[in-house]
Amino acid sequence: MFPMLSTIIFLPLLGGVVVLLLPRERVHLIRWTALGVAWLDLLLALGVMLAYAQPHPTVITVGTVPVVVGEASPTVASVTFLLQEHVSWLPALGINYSLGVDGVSVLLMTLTTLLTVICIAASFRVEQKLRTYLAFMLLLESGLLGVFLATNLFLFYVFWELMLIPAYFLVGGWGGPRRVYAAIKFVLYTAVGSFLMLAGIIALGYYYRTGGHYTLDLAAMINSSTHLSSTVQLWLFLAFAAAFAVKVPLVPFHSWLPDAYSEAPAPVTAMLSGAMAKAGAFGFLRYCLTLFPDAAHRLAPLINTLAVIGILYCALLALVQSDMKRLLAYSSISHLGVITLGIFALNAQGLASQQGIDGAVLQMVNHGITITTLFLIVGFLEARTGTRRLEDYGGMARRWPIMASVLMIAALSSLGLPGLNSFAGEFLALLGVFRSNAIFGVLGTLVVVPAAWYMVRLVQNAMMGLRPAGGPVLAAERKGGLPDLDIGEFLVLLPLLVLIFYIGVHPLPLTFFVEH
Amino acid sequence: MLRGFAMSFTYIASAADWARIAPELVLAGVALLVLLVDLLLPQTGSVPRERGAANFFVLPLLALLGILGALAATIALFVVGDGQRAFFGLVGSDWGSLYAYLAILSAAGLGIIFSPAYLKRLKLVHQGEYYALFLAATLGMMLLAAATSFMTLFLGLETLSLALYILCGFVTRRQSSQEAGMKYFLLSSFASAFLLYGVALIYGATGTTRFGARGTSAWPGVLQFLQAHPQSTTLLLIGIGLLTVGFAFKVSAIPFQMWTPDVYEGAPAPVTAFMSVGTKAAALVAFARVFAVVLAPVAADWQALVWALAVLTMVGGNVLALVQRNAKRLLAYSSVAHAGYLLIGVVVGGTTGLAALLFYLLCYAFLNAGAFGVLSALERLDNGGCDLEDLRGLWFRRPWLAGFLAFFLLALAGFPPMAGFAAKYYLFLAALQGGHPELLLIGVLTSVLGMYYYLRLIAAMFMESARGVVGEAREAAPALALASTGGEPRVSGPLGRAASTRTGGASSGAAGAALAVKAAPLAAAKRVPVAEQVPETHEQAAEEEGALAGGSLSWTTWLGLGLAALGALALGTVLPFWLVDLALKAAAML
Repeated sequence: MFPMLSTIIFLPLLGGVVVLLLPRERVHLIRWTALGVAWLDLLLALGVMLAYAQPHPTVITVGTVPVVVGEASPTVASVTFLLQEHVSWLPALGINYSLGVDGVSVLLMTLTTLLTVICIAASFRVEQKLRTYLAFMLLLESGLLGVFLATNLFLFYVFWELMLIPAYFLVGGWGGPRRVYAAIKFVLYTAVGSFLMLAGIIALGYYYRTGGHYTLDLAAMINSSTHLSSTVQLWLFLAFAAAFAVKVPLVPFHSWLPDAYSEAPAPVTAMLSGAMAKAGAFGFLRYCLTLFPDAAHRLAPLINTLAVIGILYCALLALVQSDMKRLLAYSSISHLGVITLGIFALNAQGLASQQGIDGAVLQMVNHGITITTLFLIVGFLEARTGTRRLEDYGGMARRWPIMASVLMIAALSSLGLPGLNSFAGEFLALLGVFRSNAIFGVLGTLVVVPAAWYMVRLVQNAMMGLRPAGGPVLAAERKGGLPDLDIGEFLVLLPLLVLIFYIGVHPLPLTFFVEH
Repeated sequence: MLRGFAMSFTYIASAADWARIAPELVLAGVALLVLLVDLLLPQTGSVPRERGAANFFVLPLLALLGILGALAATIALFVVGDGQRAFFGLVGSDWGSLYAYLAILSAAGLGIIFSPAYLKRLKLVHQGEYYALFLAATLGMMLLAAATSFMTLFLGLETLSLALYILCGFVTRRQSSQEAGMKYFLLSSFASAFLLYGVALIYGATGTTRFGARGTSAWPGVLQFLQAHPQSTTLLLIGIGLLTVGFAFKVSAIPFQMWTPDVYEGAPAPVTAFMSVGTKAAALVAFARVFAVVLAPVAADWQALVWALAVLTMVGGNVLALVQRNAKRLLAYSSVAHAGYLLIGVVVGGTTGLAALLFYLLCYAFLNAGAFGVLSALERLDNGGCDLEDLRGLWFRRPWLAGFLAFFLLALAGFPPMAGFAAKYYLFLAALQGGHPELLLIGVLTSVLGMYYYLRLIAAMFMESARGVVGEAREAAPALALASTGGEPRVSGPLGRAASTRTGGASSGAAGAALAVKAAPLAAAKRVPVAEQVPETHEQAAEEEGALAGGSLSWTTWLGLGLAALGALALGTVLPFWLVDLALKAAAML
């Protein structure tokens, strides 16, 4: 069988190498090659998505997961990986090269490839060290796709770390004035979590050994008759959660995020928040819930509390930011809190609610789309005026009608207006939370108020109101005018806008993937 | 004693004995050959000796061929060797030794490949001695790794040490190099004395200096004695303590690491590339063999000691590396930290621990030799060029070199898919298997510390301005004036301070470009057309006598870096298929 998933993962890597080898002067060739590779990857991913949506005769049931449970039937549902690829690597240590997709990863894979296309297209203005920049973007895509598609824990960890390297270089090499600080802080926070997860993975393989043979294949572990004692589960859960909680991030581990997001160039920030943050939530869903159900049940209140604190606290912080990127960064933490809450909406028996999972995954996709739009718009603003401070703007809607409209749509989507994409996801996720625990549900829902507030504040301060009498915006205008979105920038945003409307009206296809 | 005299000692070394030490023989022969050829090479006439093409080509090639020959002999022994001990159980030819040879020879090969360009740049003469000593040191390391008797062990140790003392002080015009040689000599002699006294005491306690092999009583030694008398005597305990000191010095475990940064910094970079790996590999294999195999019956007596050494070294090495401002010193402390990880293998022992140790050593050889190889291309005669300040913005000046260094640093930090990760994974797994989960946790957490200083160095190269703040202000002043008056001031951008200039003045233009690189933010990058082409002239202006000519590197350096990178990647991805298995089998035979 054609190794479709490997192709999808390694095509960007290969493309990155090709981009590096192109002559430096051929700027257009370099850009279009990178974009072409990203497009090709997106098409492949869409192909896989379509294939997945077909009724598949060769469903390989690899295990039963006592987590994803239908609302009606309390029986365990089975999780299937499709398009499996399996190559023995170090079988004695349980290390194999195995890939597979399930409904969740097929969505996130497609989201990642889509966002890469958009972010590379949005990076066409980059000139400094262009080849390296694009190569790192593509490498980042490779790492992310690997994280979503790997079904062996060792391989998963390899990709998990692999995506950190390009992210580090992208933040630190092309970012703003405090980029070095932000990049190192970002990597160190992540590294502490990742290394703890590494210890967890090593221990997991050790506990799942049978007769001296280790196993790290997800399917084999879920099928295994070995049942981890609840103490072991607890420690391993914490080790894994350390990595995911930093990546998502949950609140006490979040302080790297505003720095990294605000220092990174806008397309990179969009990739980090749109795709990479989802890797953390995905990890919770795929690994923490399935491998350590007992511990997940016991620790769900803790995670949920952290998530709720994150949702409310960061929404309040977003209210008072004057830097637009920091505002969006805090809003991002807040939204990911809702996703986490949805994932950990376990009922009294420790079973996850279908609505919670549905909503969380839906929201992962939606948040990826919305936050990317927002960060890119802020990037466009910054490229025109050189400032991200809200106070410097005002009354720009008259000058930039299209930009203002696009920002308005994205902001409305972000605050969860019914009819736009985020509403369905957030609603479903919170519904799941309500069913399992009303208190967390109420607290989580409270976020609607500050979320609307900070988003309205963003749009109002930037686009409405009075023009400031001086400052960088005026200076930029005097110098060269402030053009509205040009056709290229609009085309970059267009697919996201279409998706915002389409998913808002018709979210069912997405939940189909989650449930199948 | 009387019995010993009564035994008639007939010294009959069979052909098989010689065959078992074939790699050592090849090296010894080629080392002598190098000295001879050096005599024969043309040195007369108007061409100064250090300019002679033959010296820079024939000698390293010959030395490299010697290494390759030894490598071939090693592989041949893997395939057809019987793995028995040679010379009455004094030298091993088991797979464990051979595996260590692989690491040592890889490091030596890379070190030799890095050498000619370095020697040429620093105008060092006496190349015949250089390569001969290089090979002699390699020989000593191999002997140390293969030693199955305390006598052979000491012989190997002294061979490698004596050669390295001279090599460390080889840059005669540099004080720090001489200091390195002297320091290494004095401290190492102390350590050797400790080791030797430990050997003497153990001989007193057990009556033999031979190690003795597991599973066979062909050449009985300390192991057999301890198996028969597992209760340890005071004499033995003191002996073990002294041995530990000696070995800990050689592997630069804390608190015996004082010499490491000074020596690694002062010595010529190719030598450091070689010795940091080779000495460590040889000494650790010997350490592991003596403690985890020979002294295994009395493991309870030394395990806590080595455990403490390992933990101290892991924590201390990483913490001390945090504050280093010089890349060579930083790598020296990082190598101390890696010695700590490696000691986990000794503590855990058993087949898994030793296999992890062997595999780690092989991976480490490529990573560390590669990293020091990059520094060998940067180091100047006065030992400058490796400070954090000098490395700032290296990416903009010499992107490939910076890329290679970043690659090796990331690999050392333990990022997959490079070899450092595979090695660490395997070692930490061994710690868990051996019942030491605390070592796994400490190792993992200290790795985070390690990540900081590696990333800090990478940040300096890739993300910071091209020159130190003070120097930059001074140098950039005319360029700035030029930019704001004469040239076209294309100022603006998010930071409002992105200055760039197209004026192609020689050095001032370069400084201006360097500044533009520093200030160039992403969104304004389209207005910074010169950002990518920071001229090499800047580099040249800054380099003094003995510096690189033309800013380009010799092809040999590229070859070495490429090989090391290839090895690091291959060891991390495809080769573990069988290298881990091989290490397991090798460890079982140690």
